[in-house]
Amino acid sequence: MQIEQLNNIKNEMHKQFVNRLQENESTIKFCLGVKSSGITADKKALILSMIEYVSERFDNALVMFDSDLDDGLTVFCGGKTEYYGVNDFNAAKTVVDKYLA
Amino acid sequence: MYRSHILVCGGTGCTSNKSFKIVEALNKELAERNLSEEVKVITTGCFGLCAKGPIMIVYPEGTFYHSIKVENVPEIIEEHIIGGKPVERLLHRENDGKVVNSLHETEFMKKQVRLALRNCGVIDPENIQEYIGRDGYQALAKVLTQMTPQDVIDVILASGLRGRGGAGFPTGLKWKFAKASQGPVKYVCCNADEGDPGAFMDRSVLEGDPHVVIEAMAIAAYAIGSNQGYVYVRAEYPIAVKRLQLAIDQAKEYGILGKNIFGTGFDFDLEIRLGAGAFVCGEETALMTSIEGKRGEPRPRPPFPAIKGLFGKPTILNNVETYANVPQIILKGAEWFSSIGTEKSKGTKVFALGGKIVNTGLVEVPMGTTLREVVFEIGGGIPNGKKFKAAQTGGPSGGCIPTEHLDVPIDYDNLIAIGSMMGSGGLIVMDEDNCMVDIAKFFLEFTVDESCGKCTPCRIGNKRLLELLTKVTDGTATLEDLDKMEQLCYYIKANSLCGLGQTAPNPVLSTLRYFRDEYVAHVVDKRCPAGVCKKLLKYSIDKDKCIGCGMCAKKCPADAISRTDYTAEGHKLASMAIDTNKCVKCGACMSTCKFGAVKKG
Ligand SMILES: Cc1cc2nc3c(=O)[nH]c(=O)nc-3n(C[C@H](O)[C@H](O)[C@H](O)COP(=O)(O)O)c2cc1C
Repeated sequence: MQIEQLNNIKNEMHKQFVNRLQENESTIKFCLGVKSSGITADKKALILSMIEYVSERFDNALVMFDSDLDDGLTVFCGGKTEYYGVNDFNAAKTVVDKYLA
Repeated sequence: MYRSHILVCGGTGCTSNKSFKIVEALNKELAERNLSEEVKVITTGCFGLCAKGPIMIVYPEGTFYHSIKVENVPEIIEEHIIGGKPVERLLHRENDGKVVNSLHETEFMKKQVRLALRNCGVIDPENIQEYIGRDGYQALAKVLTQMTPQDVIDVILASGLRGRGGAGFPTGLKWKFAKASQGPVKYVCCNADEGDPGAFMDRSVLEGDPHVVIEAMAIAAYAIGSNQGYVYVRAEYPIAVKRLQLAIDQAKEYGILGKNIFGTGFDFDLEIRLGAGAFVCGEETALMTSIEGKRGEPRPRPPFPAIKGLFGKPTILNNVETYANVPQIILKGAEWFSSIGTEKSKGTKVFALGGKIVNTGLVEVPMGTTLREVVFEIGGGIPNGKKFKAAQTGGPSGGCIPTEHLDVPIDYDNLIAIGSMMGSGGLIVMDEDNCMVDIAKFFLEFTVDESCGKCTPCRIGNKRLLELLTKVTDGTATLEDLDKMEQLCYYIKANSLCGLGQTAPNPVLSTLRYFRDEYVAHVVDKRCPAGVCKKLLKYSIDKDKCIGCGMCAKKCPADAISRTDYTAEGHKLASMAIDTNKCVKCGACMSTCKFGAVKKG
């Protein structure tokens, strides 16, 4: 094995770990509200796409369902909470991008 | 990609609590509900809180479930994975009743800093890719491509890393000596013998993160100029052995062990050698003799292994936990590591907490944490409202630390100053029901059993010491015997061949130093204050408390309890009495009596 191969595996596995980390104060949490809709097939498809998208861009972020929140996307970041009434992947991507900076 | 990960502990503690059945049940339930593509179940190494096993953590929420049963699985899948709400009933409650969602918010975890255990409870130890995903083998890649062997040694020296297996010898210095030794063949060994009763840190690292040891040994080999390593691990650790062998096989398959690693021209191979469980085989020279296929007996030093070790070649031997720190030091730098801990003891130390403590398990704390923090905050204190009496560190080579030293920051030098030692990290807590003479006897019996017999001071001296100690617990010793014991301790320490004999009297010396009054009570008053030493025990029945139910007599295996003529006021039946000549002091009467009428003293 060469070092590039090692790094490729590392980057691939890193994505798996993004949604498997212990949150801390600097973790950004993207929460999909499911209180009113429940975890539907659409919501599942949305969360998987978002996990993929977020894991490629963040080291310390979680994407999760939250059954205490209604529909939409709520983002917890640096002690602040913002709500976005988005329920599709394209709109959610724009929200995620806002937090990249 | 998975939306949720369910991590289940597959360490020895949780496995013995049948955590594998939980894994089976989870996989079955997920498959039945078509969730296998969305939710992944991972068997990990130890999370640390062994007392509460089987342990499960559900990510991304980080929800901590413990004492899980197979029956709980459908509920967790239904409510948490499908419904999105943790099952509150199964969450952890602190001593004050507060519900805690995440393991990291528990009092047990708050003060811990996980360096050596950083991957335990996080990755699947049987999957090399998971280790790589957590920066695994990056340190090896770095040393092979960007550092000279001398650079590696300089970093380890500057980090202040000291050996975690016993005496705390500076790791960088050991590597420096071995590098300086001339010769084409050198060896790198790992000590995973872990013979101290109550210690299980090394087992947990091997079970939870075996690749870290492989990576560190390869780094050490590069630093000293070696191409062959051996891990000496006791055969009584089947899970650790299996996972380590799997990890070695995977590393070979990926070309991380073997020839021309990462195309750099560096070769390194690694093999496991199984130990048969002799304590003395943890001593470095005995360990090497055992790897050579001979009877595991120590050899005189010098020459030290760095000059003449395994098969007569320059060798380094380090403990599992020592190695577990190395890749992080290489990646994050000596300064980062040395910023943790105390002036002379850098980094963290893993302790196996056991004995009379609420949170039995594995804890990793920065050097300099006090015993009070470990026992009362992380460990949750003493169960059943009992009082702390002492903590034993360093296993059979260590000593007992009494209440007055609870606030001493734990590091190598402080522990030696108060008559104990770090040892490998066993920490056994004792309460008011423990007899300190009996504790000293327990450890001495262990070392007498485990002495290899090669040198006379250890073989015969410790046996004589044990005889004197037995006189104390039998109530036949004199005060002169106590002085004789102390003198004998110093002879044994000064004249034994290896560390086993040199440290075997420590538990006796430290209990004599801090608990002499208990020894005196045994000798002068013929009394064991904790009520443990059988020969000094007497059971009796308080005739006014006894209601005469006769349950004690039914339970007595020696037929030593009979009814008297005396009926206490307000009772209908005559009370019972114990014939002390017949009594075998088993305590069955006491545990049977619901009225507190049986006394021990
Ligand atoms: C009787 C005896 C038993 C020992 N058992 C162990 C053991 O089980 N594990 C261990 O790492 N060191 C043990 N040691 C210490 C080793 O001899 C050696 O110092 C240590 O493995 C070196 O590694 P380190 O520098 O990384 O601590 C023992 C020493 C003695 C005297």
